Amino acid sequence: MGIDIELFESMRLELRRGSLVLAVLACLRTERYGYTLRQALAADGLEMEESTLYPLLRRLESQGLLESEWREEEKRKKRFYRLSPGGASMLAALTDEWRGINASLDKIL
Amino acid sequence: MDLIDRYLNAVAAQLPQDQRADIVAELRDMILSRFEEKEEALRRPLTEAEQEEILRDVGHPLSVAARYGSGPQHVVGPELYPWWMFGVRAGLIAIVAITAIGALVRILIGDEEVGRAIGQAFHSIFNGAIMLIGFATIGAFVIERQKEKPSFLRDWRVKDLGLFEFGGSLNAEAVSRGLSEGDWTLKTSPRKARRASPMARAVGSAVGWSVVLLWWIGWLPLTHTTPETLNAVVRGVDYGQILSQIHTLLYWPVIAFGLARIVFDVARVARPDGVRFTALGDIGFGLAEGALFGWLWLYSPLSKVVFVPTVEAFAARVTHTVQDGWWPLSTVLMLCVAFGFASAVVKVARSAFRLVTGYDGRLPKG
Repeated sequence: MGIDIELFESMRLELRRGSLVLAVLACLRTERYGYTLRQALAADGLEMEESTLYPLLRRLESQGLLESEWREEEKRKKRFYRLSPGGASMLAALTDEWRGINASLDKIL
Repeated sequence: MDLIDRYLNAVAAQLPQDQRADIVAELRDMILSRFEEKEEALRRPLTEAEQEEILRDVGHPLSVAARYGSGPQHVVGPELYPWWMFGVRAGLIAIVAITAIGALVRILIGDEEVGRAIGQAFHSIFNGAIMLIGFATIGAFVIERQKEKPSFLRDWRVKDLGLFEFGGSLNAEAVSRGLSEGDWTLKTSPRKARRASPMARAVGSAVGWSVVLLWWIGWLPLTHTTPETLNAVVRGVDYGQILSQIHTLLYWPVIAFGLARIVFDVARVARPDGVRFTALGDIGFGLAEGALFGWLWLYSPLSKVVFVPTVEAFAARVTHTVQDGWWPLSTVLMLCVAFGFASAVVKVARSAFRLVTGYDGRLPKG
C-alpha cells in the first residue's frame, strides 16, 4: 500500500524542523552571511527557505547564541554571523542530546 | 521604482520601526544574491518576469514580515483554543436560554405573536453569538500575548472538572439543572450525583454574570424590545413602564454589583478552598440582594403592585389566589419578591455560619 504523499510531506517537515537549529548553529562555527549559509546547508542536504532561515538567525542572535556584524564584501554590505561563546556551549549540549535521540531511535528502528 | 524596492517597501511597512532598516538591508542583499546566481546560470540579465518569480519564491511580504515578529503568530493558540471553544459553547447555551425565556414571556403576556417572537429570537441568538465569539476572541488574543499564561491552564484539579463535563453536551436536562441549581455535572450516567466544586461554581458564576452584564448594558442584543416598547398592560398596570423605571434606577447599581460579583468569582477561582473568604463575599452579596428585594417591595415603582402592609394581608392574598385557582401577575410578582428576599436572608444566615465555623458542607470531600 502506497503512502499518502501529502501526509508524508507534513510529517517530514515536522521531523526536520527541530534539527534545523542544530544545523544552523553547527554551520556557523565558521563565519558566514545568510546567503552562503543557506548554500552550505543545501550542499549538505538541508534545503532551507530564506523566509525561515533569516528570521531564525535573528532569533538566535537575540537569544545570545550568535554574534553578527555588517561588513562590505563583493561591493555590497553583508551581515556576517558566527557562533557566540554561549552558542558554542548550547551547540555542544544540543549535539549530545541529538546523539542520544539518534542512538535511541537506532535501537527502536 | 524597480520590483525589488516595491517588494521591500511592502515588507518594511509590516515591520517594527526599530528593526525595519536592518531587516530590509539584509533581505535586499539576499534577493540581489539570488538574482546574481540566476543571471550567472543564464549568462544574461534577468527579465522582469524572472525577477518576479524569484520574489514570489522568497514569499509574500506579509508572510515574510510576519516571521520576524516576536509574538505569537496566531489569534488563539492550540493551548488556549479548547478553553476558548468551551467558553463560547457555554456562553451560547446561556444566550439561547435567556433569549428563549424572553421570547416565552413576550408570547405569554401577549406582546408578540408566536411566529414573530420565534423569528426575533433566532435573530437575537445570531447577533448574540457573533458578539460572544468576538468578545471571547479578543479575550483569547490578549491572553495569548501575556508573558505569563493564566494559572488555570495548568493548575487544575480533577475534582474541579465537573463544569467541563457539561460543556461537552448540549443536554437539556443538564442545562436546566445548571441554571436552577448551579450544578453543571452530567447525571445521565448511573454514577452517584455530586455537587459542583467551589472552583467550578465560581467559573460558572463569573461566565454567567459576564453574559448578564453585557446584556444589561446593551452590548449583547438578546432582546429586540425595550421595556418602554413592551406592550404589557395587565389589568390597568403598565408593566413596561414599571420595568423601564426600574431599569433606569438600577442601571448603575446592577453594573456595580455585576462587576463586583465577577471580580469576587475570579478571586474565588484563585483560592477555591477559602471558605471564610467566600462566606464573607456571600454575606455582602446576600445583603445587597436583600436590599434590592426590600427596595422592590417598599419603594420601587413595582411597590404599588406587590406591597402588602402585614403578614396577614400577605397570607390572605395568597389564600385567596389558591382558592380562586387564578394567579394574577401581581400576586406572582409579590411571591417572587418575597421569595427573593427570604432567599437572601437564608443566604446571609448560611454564609454567616460558614464564616464563623470555617466549614462548608458543599466542598467535595478529599
